[in-house]
Amino acid sequence: MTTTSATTALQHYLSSSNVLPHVAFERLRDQSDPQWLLLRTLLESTTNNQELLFHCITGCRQVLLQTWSEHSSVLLQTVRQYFLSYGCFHTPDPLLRKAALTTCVAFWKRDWCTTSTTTPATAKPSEHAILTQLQPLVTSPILTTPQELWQWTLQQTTPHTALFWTLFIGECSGKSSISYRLPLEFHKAVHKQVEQDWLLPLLQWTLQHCSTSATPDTVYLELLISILTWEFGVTAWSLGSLGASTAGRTLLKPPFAWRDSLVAPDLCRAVLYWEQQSPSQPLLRQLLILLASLSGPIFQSKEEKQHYASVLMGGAMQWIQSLRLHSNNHDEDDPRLLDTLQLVSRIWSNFKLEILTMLPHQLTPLLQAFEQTGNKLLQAQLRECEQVQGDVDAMVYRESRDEALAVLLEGMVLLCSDPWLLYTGTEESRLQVQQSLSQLLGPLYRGFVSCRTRMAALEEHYTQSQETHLDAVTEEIMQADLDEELASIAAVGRLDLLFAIQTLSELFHQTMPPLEQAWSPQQQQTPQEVTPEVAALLEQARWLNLYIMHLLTDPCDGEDAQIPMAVVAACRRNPDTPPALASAVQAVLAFAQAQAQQIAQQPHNRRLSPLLACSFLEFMIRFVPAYLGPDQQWFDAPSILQLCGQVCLHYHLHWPHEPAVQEHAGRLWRALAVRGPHMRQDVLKTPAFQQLMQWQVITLGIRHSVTQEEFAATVQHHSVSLEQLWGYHRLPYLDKRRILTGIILMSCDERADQTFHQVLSAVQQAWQPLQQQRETSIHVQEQLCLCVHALIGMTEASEMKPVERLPQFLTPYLSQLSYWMEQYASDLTISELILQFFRLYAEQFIVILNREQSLVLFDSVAKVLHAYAQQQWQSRAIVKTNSEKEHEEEQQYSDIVCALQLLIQLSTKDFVDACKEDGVESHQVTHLVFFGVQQLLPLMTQGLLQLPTLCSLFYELIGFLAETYPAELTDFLSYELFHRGLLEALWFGSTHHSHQVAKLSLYGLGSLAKEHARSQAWQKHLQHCPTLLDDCREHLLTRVIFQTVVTDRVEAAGMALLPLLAADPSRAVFTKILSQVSDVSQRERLEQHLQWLLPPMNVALEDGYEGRRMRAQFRERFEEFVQEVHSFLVLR
Amino acid sequence: MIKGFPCKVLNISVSKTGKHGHAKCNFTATDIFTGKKYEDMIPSSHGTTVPIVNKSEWELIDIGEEGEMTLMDEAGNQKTDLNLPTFPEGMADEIRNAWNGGESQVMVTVQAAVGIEQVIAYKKDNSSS
Repeated sequence: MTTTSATTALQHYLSSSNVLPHVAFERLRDQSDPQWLLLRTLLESTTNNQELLFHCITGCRQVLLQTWSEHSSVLLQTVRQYFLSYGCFHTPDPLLRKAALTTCVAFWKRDWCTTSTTTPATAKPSEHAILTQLQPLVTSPILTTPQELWQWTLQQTTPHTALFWTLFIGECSGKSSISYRLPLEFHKAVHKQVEQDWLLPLLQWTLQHCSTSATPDTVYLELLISILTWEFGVTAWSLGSLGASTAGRTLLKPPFAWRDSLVAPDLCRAVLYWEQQSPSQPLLRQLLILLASLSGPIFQSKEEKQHYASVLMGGAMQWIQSLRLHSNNHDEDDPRLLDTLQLVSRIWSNFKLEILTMLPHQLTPLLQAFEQTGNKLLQAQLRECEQVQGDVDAMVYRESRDEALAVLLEGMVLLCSDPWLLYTGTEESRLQVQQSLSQLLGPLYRGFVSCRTRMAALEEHYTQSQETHLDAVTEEIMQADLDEELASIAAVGRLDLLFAIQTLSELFHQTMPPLEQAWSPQQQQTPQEVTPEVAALLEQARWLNLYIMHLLTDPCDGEDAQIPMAVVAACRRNPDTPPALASAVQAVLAFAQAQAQQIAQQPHNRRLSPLLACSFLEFMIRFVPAYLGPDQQWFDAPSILQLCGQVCLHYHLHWPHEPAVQEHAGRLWRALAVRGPHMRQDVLKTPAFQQLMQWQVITLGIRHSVTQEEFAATVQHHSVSLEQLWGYHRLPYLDKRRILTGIILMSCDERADQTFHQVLSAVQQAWQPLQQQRETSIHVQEQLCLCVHALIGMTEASEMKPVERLPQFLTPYLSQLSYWMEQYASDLTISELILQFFRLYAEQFIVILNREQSLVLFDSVAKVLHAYAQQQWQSRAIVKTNSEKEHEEEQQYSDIVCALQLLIQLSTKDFVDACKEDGVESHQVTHLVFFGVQQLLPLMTQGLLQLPTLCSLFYELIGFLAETYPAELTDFLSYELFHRGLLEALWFGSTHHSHQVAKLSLYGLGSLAKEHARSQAWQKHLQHCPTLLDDCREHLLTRVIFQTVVTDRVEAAGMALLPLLAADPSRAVFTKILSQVSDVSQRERLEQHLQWLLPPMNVALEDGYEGRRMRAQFRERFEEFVQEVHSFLVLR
Repeated sequence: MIKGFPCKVLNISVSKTGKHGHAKCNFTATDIFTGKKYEDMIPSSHGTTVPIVNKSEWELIDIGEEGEMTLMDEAGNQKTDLNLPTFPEGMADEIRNAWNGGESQVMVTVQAAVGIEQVIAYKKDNSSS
């Protein structure tokens, strides 16, 4: 064969394959390249075709790794050595060098832990030709062991050796690789050995190389960084870290043995010196950030840590000064700035105030520099925003500056929220540090507030002038980001609360007059339209309101609202703070009131902003419950409560068509009502609440479809303004329902009994037309809609005490509702509302229902479900969902969600027991639930189960039923529904990505199988399909247990497998699975493990002590079994 | 009423223009006589007009060559001013076929709104045969 024949042959193969070149390469690799075309092309190559050579190298890697055991060790070692020589000495091309060394690294890894090799030591006859070709190109002697490789490394002077080791570390830190086709235990073993024996010598070798040159070569820095970011055993193989590496983002915890190499201030100084010499080298900055991240046992004492921190802080300061020298403003995108801020932030998060406060002479200038950098960045950001007139997308450096500001803010929040400030150290020292922090960082709060607010105003001005409005989803995402940033800024503001409040008050007082002027009717040039200037003012006011809200309150979803600790402490420390705080709050409330009054005068004025109204209401929802407690002295609670109520009334009367505003107003009434008896008492006394109560009681039962004349006739005997009543009457039923909930909660105390009964009688009156008129008509339909909303509103007030009063009142309506469901089952609006009511009723009250009430509920639900199923589910066509529209899609199935929730509630034990005691057999109740399941099973296709809420609810229901009533459920369902509906749903659920769904499915499957093992319950289904049990077992083993998905569901899978094996002694499924494993050694090991796993089945399912012991033993063994099998079984 | 036509609303969604804008309602609806789809967007603070729709049941007595129908209600009143419907497509033929079958009574539902009357449904009534 001539010297060019391999290249020619390869090129001929590629061109004659009649497919694209990359496909031809792939095919050649898959066929294991029997003629060594790839390797020979490399050996014989005289071409400079980089692409061809690159594919030959990577192709060789893949082919040899695949066929490793088929070749002799002589050949493999020679090829490995060839690639080492090629990468280190022969090719000048960096891409080819990297590819060759990567290949060499993979071959070294493949043999790194091999003690006994299966490959023959001497060359096979078929290898002689290629060996003859290889040997002249390989440097001798050929390296055969890691020790020889290390000795060779020590003798080398070329930096490519460092590249080899960098690639080697990268390859060994990988948790698995499909190209090796080796089990997980191989990768674990290599990882462990490299970690134990090779990392430290490599670290020392690298540091030594770095120290010998004035500026270390990039490859050594890369090697050092890859060693420092190595994930150590415990974390690397834990379940949580199977995804992406977290290297470089968190603190590093190297072992104690590394301290001599790393905990050396001289190393930090050297890195700083190198960085000074070559400031354009980002790796040096990255290295210093990693050194600043060292933590854990590597430091022996606090003093050592302090000394180390001192060097780093000095370095950070040096960087900041150098930045100042090189640029007077931050208009340009300087990567050094971000790295510097990251370094400082890392120092703060690693060493914390405990160490930092020991270094006051360094901390103070660093904080000052930090504050100045932040202010400069903000100013530069604002300047650019002004230059582009608010078109933020045109800002060139916006993103990089925002990133730098985010790092800066993160660092400040870390300092401000350090627990040391609250709990550790002496009171005096804490106060001193607090003062120093507030003095140094406090001014930055003003910078943030003024710049960000101004920018928001400019942006809104631009958006309004260009009419380039954002869509609702983008707006929501931006709001979430904004809330996060505002919460962080608030933490800084609370360092010096008085200063922060004064800043905000000042800005607020600047914004209010022009906005009030814009609202007033006589000033409008173009009446009622939002000009860009007005939009900017509105946005500015909203931001300021948000700043005050975040500064003074914390979100308190589901908890009692409290004044933040930092605010309490600030008020205690400085007596000037509470009056300033009260004055700022008054200003916000007065502003909210001013807008509300304008709404009353000119509700259609477009300059009055619903979004601003929402932000005022949000402020009230967070502020009032937290601050107006029984012992507070700072505020005049009655007047604030009256003001809040009055503002809500204005919104109810004049903006009934603004859903977001109404939702917030409803939330405010509720938040006030659940805050406690003192708050309820205060609110009840306010004229605003009494007014609301009166309007609600009068209009509760009046349909929207009545004419204005009919309305006037209905309300004429009330001495209330007709105009106001008509305004309130226009509120959607949904919003009136929210208000009703608030009123009921507000009047639940004993002393408000009269109010409570007034509301109840209003609901009763609303029902009267329906009791008289039993025929269906458009008016009846609407009256029914109104009444069901009212009943739902009452049900949602279940937080009231004593709650028993609600089911007492509501129960008589259940049978009426079931009657109306029969009439209107075809009307989706009404039938869904009724279903929703029953769901809420069961959810909120089922635990407190007495026997009579339980019976009524049982009877009514039976009728409701029958009527609804007949009309809605039997003709329902389910289409596969589109993931993009998942949420909208899910809303289309809200009736199924509702029914699932209702069935879950009904199947609870309390209810079943209550019915049983009163003469109704519990199987009647379970049959009702089974009936529901029977209706739902055909609807629950795999497409529908992709909807998250539906899916989890469905599995909650069937999992519960299968576990609690396995015999009844198996018997109740037909073969089709049992196999195609229930079992297939459980199989689907067992592989679901949600571990909760999977566990519910597996426990359900286990319970059904257990029942069969005990009583042969599946017999009637097995007549239709004799392999049903085998199918279950095979699915469980191959789709769950042998897959990585099992890691979060091991116990449930074991408890499903045990009864499935016990139910039938046949082991045919094992034979089938074993026959599918091609590797003989793997097959033998799997067989042994399966034999070892199985306990005496008949005992394992018994109830007594012995059964429990066997199950516990099985559980332990199964866990071990899964770990072992996953270590050696290679899954494709 | 959407754009002057009596419609059945299929969907209402609420949106707003701009951050500080007021709510607007987007209606999707179909004409109750022609089935034609209409869309409209109006501020949620505005009122709207609602057509008064009446439905009545009539027995089909006769169908003329041109499709003119003779109808009679329960009280025996006759109605001769309606033709077979042109919408939905094919319903006219179905009614004629049902009528020509002659085995049962054919009842039609007449919908009336904004001065228009039209047959919108029919059924065969076997009870009297």
